[in-house]
Amino acid sequence: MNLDERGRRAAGEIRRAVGAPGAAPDPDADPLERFERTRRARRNAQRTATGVLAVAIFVGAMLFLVRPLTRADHRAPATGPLPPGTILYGEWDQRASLAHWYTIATDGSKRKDLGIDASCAAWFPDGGRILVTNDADLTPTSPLRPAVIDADGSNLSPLDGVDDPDLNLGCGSVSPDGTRIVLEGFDEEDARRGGIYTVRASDGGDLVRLTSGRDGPPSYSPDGSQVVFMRTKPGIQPDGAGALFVVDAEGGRPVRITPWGTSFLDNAWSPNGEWIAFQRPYGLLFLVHPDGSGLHRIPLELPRGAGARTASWSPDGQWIVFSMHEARGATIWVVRPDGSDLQPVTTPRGADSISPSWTS
Amino acid sequence: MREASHPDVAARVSFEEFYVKEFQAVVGLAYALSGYRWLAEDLAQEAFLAAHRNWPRVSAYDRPGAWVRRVVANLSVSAFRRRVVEAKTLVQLGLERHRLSELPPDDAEFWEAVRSLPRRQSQVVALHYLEDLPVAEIALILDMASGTVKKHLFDGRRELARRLRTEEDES
Repeated sequence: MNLDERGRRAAGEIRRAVGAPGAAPDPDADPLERFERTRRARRNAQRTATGVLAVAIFVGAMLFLVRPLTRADHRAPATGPLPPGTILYGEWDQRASLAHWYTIATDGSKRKDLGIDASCAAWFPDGGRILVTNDADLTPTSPLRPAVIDADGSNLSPLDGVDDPDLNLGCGSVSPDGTRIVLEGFDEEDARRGGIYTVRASDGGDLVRLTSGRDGPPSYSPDGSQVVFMRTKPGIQPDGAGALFVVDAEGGRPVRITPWGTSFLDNAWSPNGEWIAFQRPYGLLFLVHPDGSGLHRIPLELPRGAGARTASWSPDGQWIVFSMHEARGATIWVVRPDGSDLQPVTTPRGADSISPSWTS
Repeated sequence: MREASHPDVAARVSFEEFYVKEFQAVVGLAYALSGYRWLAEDLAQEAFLAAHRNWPRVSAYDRPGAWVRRVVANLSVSAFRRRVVEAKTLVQLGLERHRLSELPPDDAEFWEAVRSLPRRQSQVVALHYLEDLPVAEIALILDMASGTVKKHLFDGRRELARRLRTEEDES
């Protein structure tokens, strides 16, 4: 079979797949009906996010008053108080494919709108600044670069030290000493340039490539000597899944620490260096030692139909903060690494709250 | 077919017809370029929503279908955007336990090879095989010169043949 014959056959399979009964979420619905539902859903989501806020404030006040009279359930206050601190998290905007970022105290108070839209955001180790993707400056001729904002969302400073118009530098994290940033890199025209890169935190210069592959997003170990990241490759199932790898922060051969197909997107190293938290497809949180041993699921008791994602650690390592996704949206929760003391941080607003990170 | 009694009604009717006519083909293009069946429909809906928002302008084009294909082609190959969308959508799909259509291995390999090409080459090659479009039509969709399309098609097919260890069709 020559190339054109193969291409025509492959094209036929695509057409079969997109037209096959049962392949669409709502096989009996007219396509235009699905479009109208999507359009209404987007419009309603915008109204709901505004309207629910007012209701949530009222309901929250009532719950506070009647809480001692209610029966305990999985959403009841935990036995252990949360340490003080500030959690950074995003609310996903489907239309923009970006998140709008907020901070909130661990007791759910002092919610602050940072006034920035970005694909990713993460604390600097000192908690005084935040690393973001500078999506606002992304154009067809200007690649994606990181930027830094103050903890209150002000003073956005682009880190434009890399002079490479084709290499995009996306999500990442800051080294424990605050001097380097590790990022996922990709070139829309040349997949061979994909991989993990580091740059200087002060100005985004001094580009160093650590890996080659479909890699990201990366996180530093607490001592800054290693980086963990997810790698995908063709043919891995389920969709979007990969495996976790660890590589020396100065470069070297990456070592796979989980089986293929068991890792999905974000990961986070515990403050004591003993565990890496990550999501397993879909909606399960797992822990693994950096050498690949001790792989196990965090036994979360979630509501029926809920899933967990984008986990990270409290500064004292006693809690994991994550996004719980349900049909009505996603909220930020915390839990002990053994699955106990599950409790909410944010209240439902009809929004999709994702990617929390915790600073003291 | 209903008769339009008002310009706004006529525009709405036209969009409906446009959507029904073009939707499956646009989803197919998104599937080929993104590699995910579940994401393809999402990307296609995004493109049609954009068309709907701009319908007075888009409907005046000679080829509104070319416009929406250009939008979905650009959405589909943005690996970064795709990854961020995955963070939300795949968890939701997992919870709803949708059964996802999969391609036979050889055909999946073919499209994986197409996606591994440089972005513009993959878009040109995908349109060439999926819809059997002439060079001029592909040039219109991707907003590039016909000569550029020819070069991308030539280079892309040669690289595909090398990666798939398949003989090119010289005809």
